[in-house]
Amino acid sequence: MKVKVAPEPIRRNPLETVFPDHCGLSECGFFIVMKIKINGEDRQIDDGLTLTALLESLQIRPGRVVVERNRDIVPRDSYDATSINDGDVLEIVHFVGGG
Amino acid sequence: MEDFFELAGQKFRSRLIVGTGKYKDFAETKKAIEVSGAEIVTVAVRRVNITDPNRENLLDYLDPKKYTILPNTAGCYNADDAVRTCRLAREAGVGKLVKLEVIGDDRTLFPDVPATLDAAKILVKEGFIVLPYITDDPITAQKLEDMGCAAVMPLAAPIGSGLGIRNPYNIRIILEHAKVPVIVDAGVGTASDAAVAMEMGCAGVLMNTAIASAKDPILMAEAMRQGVEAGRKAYLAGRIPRKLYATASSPLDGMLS
Repeated sequence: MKVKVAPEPIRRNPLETVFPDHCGLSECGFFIVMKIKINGEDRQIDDGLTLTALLESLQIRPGRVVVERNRDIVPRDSYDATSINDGDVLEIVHFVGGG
Repeated sequence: MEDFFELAGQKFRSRLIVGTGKYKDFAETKKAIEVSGAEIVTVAVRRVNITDPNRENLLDYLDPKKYTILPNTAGCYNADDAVRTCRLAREAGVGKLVKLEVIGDDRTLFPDVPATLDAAKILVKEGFIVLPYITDDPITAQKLEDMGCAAVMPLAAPIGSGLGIRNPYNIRIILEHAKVPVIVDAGVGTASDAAVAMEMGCAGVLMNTAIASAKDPILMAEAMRQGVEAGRKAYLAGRIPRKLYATASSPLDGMLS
């Protein structure tokens, strides 16, 4: 019999690897951590995060950035519908001072 | 007299385009741009620092409703990167205007002309309003105009060099043939450099370092605004021809005997 283990705490910063390892039950749905790359940095995030949730966790205002996922630009109006997958390579850019 | 700078169907009062790099902070950037009177401002596209707690954004200081944002492709060394940068910039929702620069070498920052042509071709096809930064080469200017670029932007001198227009004769040839606006981009050092470009008949001047790295950027922003305006007016007024010998300004009649 498979026992579902509730994560402790349930609400945590999805970018912090609070749990170093997977619970071992891939179907448990709670502890799955994905490895992605954001702006060249390796990060581990919770499974099933949408782009909107990811930006929120990074404290990035979606209206001020443009996101490229695996070399494709994600249209601003589809952040909610975009879920991040394991191995995704994200670039999050914005405007800075320049000549 | 109303004198507008027309670019891709849009009318602007100011002929000074300014960059937003190298300022002490965003407050200084904002102030300098206000004082410069510029309506078009260039910005660069860069990665968000995802670990930086400082969440201030340039656009919090530059209202895109007030200014026309001109994203650049600075730092791109090939056509693919430049095109990618332009596509990202467009998704930011500030319009289709892009300053295309494909750098050939980090010592001179001179443009890679063949790569610039390649990128321009793709961008024009994708509906961008392309303003390419180029060397002061009339042939390149012509090719980019033929391709559908909305303006051509020959350099006065290397970016950030402050040397002023090094080859006024080439700029003159470009001006004679171009049917799109010619904007001198890069290399201006001081207000007289900007005035010279405008007196020659350039449609505008684009600068960053000359203002941002001046001892007093705000005062230099004002000087540049006035330099561009003075140069433009002098161009429209029509200067006197250069002569080798004197012509008296005071009447020769009625002298005391």
